[in-house]
Amino acid sequence: MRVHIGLAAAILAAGMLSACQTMNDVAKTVGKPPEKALEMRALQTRRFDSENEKLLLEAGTQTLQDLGFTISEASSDVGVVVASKQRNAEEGGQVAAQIGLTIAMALLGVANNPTWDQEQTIRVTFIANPVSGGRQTEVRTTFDRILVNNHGHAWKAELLMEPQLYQEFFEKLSASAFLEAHKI
Amino acid sequence: MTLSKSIRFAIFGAMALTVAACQTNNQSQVVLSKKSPVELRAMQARAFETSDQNKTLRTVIATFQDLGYGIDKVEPAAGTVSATKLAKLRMTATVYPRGPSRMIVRSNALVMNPGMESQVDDPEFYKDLFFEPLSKAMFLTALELGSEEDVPPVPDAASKTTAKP
Repeated sequence: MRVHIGLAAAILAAGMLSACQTMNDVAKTVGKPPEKALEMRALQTRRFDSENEKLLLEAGTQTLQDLGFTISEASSDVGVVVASKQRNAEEGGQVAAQIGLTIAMALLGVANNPTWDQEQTIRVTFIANPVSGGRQTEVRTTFDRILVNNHGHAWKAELLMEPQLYQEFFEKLSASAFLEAHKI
Repeated sequence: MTLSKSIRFAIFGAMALTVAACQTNNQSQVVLSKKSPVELRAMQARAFETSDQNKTLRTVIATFQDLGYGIDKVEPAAGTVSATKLAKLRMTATVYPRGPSRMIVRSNALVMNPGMESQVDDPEFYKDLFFEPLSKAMFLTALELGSEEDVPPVPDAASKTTAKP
């Protein structure tokens, strides 16, 4: 009997530890560099044959505005433009699946609160930097998004990695700046 | 029968405690570290052998971007930048000169939870997940601060009592 109680206590202790994951652990997990950091850098970075960083910042701002983003922060001193936009993220399939699940669970006598993505905030960080020793400017753009569910809670956040998204952005940027974008 | 019942009761009680244990900090909005200012400074600040504040700030921004953070606010005149990763981890960094040829970078991280922000006070986090990548991007070594540098004002009760007439 004692062994059983000891075992139960050990399991409980383990449960307590996992339940109270410290904020330092959360920070170390979230703070890790992205898995495909190199691939991501190549995807998000282009070089332009111009030393005119301001021109690229202006072109970047215009491109973002053309795409429906609102500028939330800008500083030409350090070559930063930040913008965001909100969009509907509801997908018929996801909603139907969630409602189906709720009905199935109700038949089994379990209450389920259907949850689906309702809205997303897409955020862009656009940075321009002079390339040291060259007559070029390097531009890096990062898109990420935060999904808000139908209960109004932010519940998912992710970096956007679709190559097409970045490709299209840089095409528009080069057209706006009248410059050719070189991959690194 | 009665023994198993009492064990069940004990387990239930312990589970209730487990849940309660995680909620003790709910009242305060920002949960600051309980470590001493000196300890925090040691983990959060590094010196770089450069006099270029703008370039250092730009490199801090580039490092944030490389690590997957999005920039929230930049104030080049004050040398500050704040960035958030995946709506969960917020970092603020300040770049300021110390002497004619050194820049100090001080960073502070918060984990964001609904209604609660907790300061990160793990030296490994700052070393491995911020200063090491920053140092690579700077092409400079991140130097730990000496005891005479950048000491934040600590209310020192001892100095008053030891002062002799």
